[in-house]
Amino acid sequence: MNCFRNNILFWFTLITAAGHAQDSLQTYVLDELNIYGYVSQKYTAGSIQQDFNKFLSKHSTYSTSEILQQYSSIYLKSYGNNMLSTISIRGTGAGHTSLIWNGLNINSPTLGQSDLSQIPSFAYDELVIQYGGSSALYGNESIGGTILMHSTARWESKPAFSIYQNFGSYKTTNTRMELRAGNDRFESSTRFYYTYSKNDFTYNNILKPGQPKEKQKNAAVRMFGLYQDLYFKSGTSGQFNMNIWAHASDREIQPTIVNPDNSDYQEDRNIRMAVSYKNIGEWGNVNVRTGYVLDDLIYNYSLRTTSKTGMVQASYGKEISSKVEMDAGIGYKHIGVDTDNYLNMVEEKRWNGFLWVKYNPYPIWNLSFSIRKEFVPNYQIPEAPSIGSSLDIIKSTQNKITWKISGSANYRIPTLNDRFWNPGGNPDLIPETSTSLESGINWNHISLNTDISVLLSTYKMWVENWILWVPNGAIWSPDNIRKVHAQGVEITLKGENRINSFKLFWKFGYSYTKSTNKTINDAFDRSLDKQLPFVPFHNALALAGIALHSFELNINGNYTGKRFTTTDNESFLDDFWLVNLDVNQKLHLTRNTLKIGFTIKNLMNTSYFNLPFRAMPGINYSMYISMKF
Amino acid sequence: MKNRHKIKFTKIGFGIFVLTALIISGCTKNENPTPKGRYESGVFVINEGNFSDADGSLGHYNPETSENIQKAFELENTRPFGGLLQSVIIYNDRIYLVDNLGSRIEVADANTLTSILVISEELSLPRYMVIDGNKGYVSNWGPFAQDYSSPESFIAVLDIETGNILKTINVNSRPEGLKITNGKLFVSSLASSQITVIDITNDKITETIETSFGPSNFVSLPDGHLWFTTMAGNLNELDALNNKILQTIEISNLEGKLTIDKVNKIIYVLTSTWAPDFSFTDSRIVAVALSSPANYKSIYSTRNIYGLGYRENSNEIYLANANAFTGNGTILIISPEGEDISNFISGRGPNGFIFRY
Repeated sequence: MNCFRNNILFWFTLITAAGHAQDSLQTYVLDELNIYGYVSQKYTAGSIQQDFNKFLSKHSTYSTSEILQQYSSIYLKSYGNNMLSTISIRGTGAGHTSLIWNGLNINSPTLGQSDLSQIPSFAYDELVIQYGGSSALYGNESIGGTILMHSTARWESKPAFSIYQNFGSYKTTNTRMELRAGNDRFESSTRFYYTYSKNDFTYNNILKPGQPKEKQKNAAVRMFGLYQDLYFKSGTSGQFNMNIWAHASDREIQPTIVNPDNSDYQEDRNIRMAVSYKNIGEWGNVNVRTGYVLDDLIYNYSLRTTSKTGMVQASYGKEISSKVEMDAGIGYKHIGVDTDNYLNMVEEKRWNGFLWVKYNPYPIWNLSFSIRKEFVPNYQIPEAPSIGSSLDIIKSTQNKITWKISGSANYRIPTLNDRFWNPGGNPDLIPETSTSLESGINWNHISLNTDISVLLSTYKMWVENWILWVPNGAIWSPDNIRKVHAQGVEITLKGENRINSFKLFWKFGYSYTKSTNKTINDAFDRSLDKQLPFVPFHNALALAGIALHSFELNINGNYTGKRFTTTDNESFLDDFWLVNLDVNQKLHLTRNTLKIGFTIKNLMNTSYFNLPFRAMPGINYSMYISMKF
Repeated sequence: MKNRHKIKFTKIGFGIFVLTALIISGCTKNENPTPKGRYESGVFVINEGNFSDADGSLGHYNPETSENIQKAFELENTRPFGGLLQSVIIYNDRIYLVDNLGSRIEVADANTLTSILVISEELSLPRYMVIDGNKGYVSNWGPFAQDYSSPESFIAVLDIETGNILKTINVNSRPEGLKITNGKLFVSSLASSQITVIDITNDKITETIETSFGPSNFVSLPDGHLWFTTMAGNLNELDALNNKILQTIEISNLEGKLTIDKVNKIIYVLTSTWAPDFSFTDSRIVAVALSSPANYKSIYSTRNIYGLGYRENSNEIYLANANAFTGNGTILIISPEGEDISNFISGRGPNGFIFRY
């Protein structure tokens, strides 16, 4: 019955959209502006969220994890406060979202996933989330979604220096500094960040009689980083970009309340570097990119994992006619890992080639076809194609309704840990694969004092050969075990209104995710067709901001539905709401701007667990001051 | 003032509640002697729980009514057990729940499960417990070394009334099974090829017995003989009086857990082999008649069995299907002849049973 209902919703958007299409095809013929920031985005009809930028500047101390938690309806698994935080988009696992920083996939090659608490939002200028499968565009691990992080030049001739400082509960301090200098041909941006938190919040120990208040032990975090961008225009149509990012973090690993005296410690050092050259000429666009990523992790002062990844990519794109555009490229990647967890050093060379084609039979209708093929020695990786259609059903000066539909096949190469971990690694694993279909409608309305947009998308996804680690006696081993069928709906409503001197911004987001298991391991297994553990059915967010002259008030609430902890859905963690409030005042001084603000997190003092027995803080405060010169 | 009113109200409320309860209980049957508690009879199911979710729990099943209570400790104490419930014993109407993850022992009334005491001092990855008189003995793996070996294993001797640790005795790596008989404590250490013998009058090691690698769990017989399994894959008879191994029976793919039917003198052991993709185990229940142990025979085969127990009252074997720890488990009840009798749902990772009456 449930399945039936979901199917109806999926087809409903298709049918209604198709109905509209018939009478609007010839009616609206308007210019097709290239509003896409990145080459790849021209070739997708999938659901995209790119409204983070106004929040990034507001919250320069936030990690990417906090940004997504507060401003999207994506579920993040957090192993404590400021601790390991992994993402789950559209009911997939932590390894099913690729993280692309300036064109490089920076997911750890050993773990095949990223800790989003370790990616400060200060380390990029733009954040985009591509929902759904997009291996044709972004390659490995783009099954549930893709996070794109970019640095951009502003080409301003006036140098700008900004400094930000905050102090908060639990001995938390954050420093951010940025210096931008250049002219219309050259630009340099230098950034520095520092974060420390003793993180010794109090919580109620629900395991002890009387639920005594206890102080969290062993959860202090410290991180700092240096970030350098260089942009340089060469000739009339060329541009060099260079981004270098050094990140260091030392942190205690917050133990569960089950064994609060555990004292694990982790040190991370990361260097990420991207150098690219692009030339946009009449004869086509050339894009050459090279990158290097070094991840060095030391666990408990001795267990060390070092991985180095180098990559080169070259692509060529051309507008063949007013209706056809294409991009094609090849890429090479070299991964080397040295870790105490493997018997030997591991090296791997990967090649890939891609072709992206866009065809506009009418200016309002955009069709795309993309394909990628990756080669790894002794490994069979299936081709990853995707097709899409994006049609403007209504296009006027005030309203635009676009109907999008797309389908794709995607893959995830087993991680190096899956294959080489000693003991237990399984060299015979095959890639995880997915097939996904989605349909969405976007409506944008613009009038004098009001901007409103509504986004609705539904999807279906089938994941096969999902790798699980299962106990093999005393040793755990991975294998291609699980089959998953995921489907869901994502809705976003947002708007901006101007009423007299007030500026109002608001947004509601909701996602319904049904990600079900299709495999059982014995006759008594009760997990068939049940929701995967740690995938909430419901996730929602509501936020509003009011600005009056130089004063601003922002409030946001985020809802995480209940998460099952077992595959049979018999045990679960309760749902929770988190509300945050921020007020700030700008002061315009003669030569600079000063901003003073105050933030309250967990305003309702909610007591909750994101993951079992990982304590989280109640209401807490911070104040900040920032200056721009 | 406001608070006072509140208290008054609740007092009246409570009075009405008690009165009603009295009337109702007065109206219903009252011939049986007052039960000591809800858990006085029946079967406790030990649900070990999954490591990352720390969701060990104690279940309770009533074979007469088929009433099946999940998370009984949480139900009676309004707080989760929260840990890995490695083992459970009942002694003098008290139940001892050994949490391997939180390194603690919850002591509760065995009939009502009301919490009495939490013992945590000096315990480190505790596994099993035995009690003699006022003294409890707990096997502890001790903290893991960097390579995940357990070089600091010990037996903790504790006063079961106060929970105070009286003494720790260093033993071979990874002490597991414990058995007291003839004034001696036998300790099997998984990461060794020895059983350690401790004199419980002075808690000193008196002797070690050489075994195959990985001695695991014991069962005892009234004649003073112990039987134990080893990870090397054999079942051994030990004369507990002379500390001599009398016989060794090889059983391929043998697991450590075993149970005994003392009336008919049959030991039931478990063997498992892994599916090629590790997603489940093929399990067999093997009956070893002590009259001719070499002629053991497989009586039942299924998947994913993680623990077993023999219920004397009904002459039934209880099997714990742990569903490879991904979901909650299922308990299968079979006859000694290997016929299915019934099954019921358990918590996460069931590993054993305590049968009462």
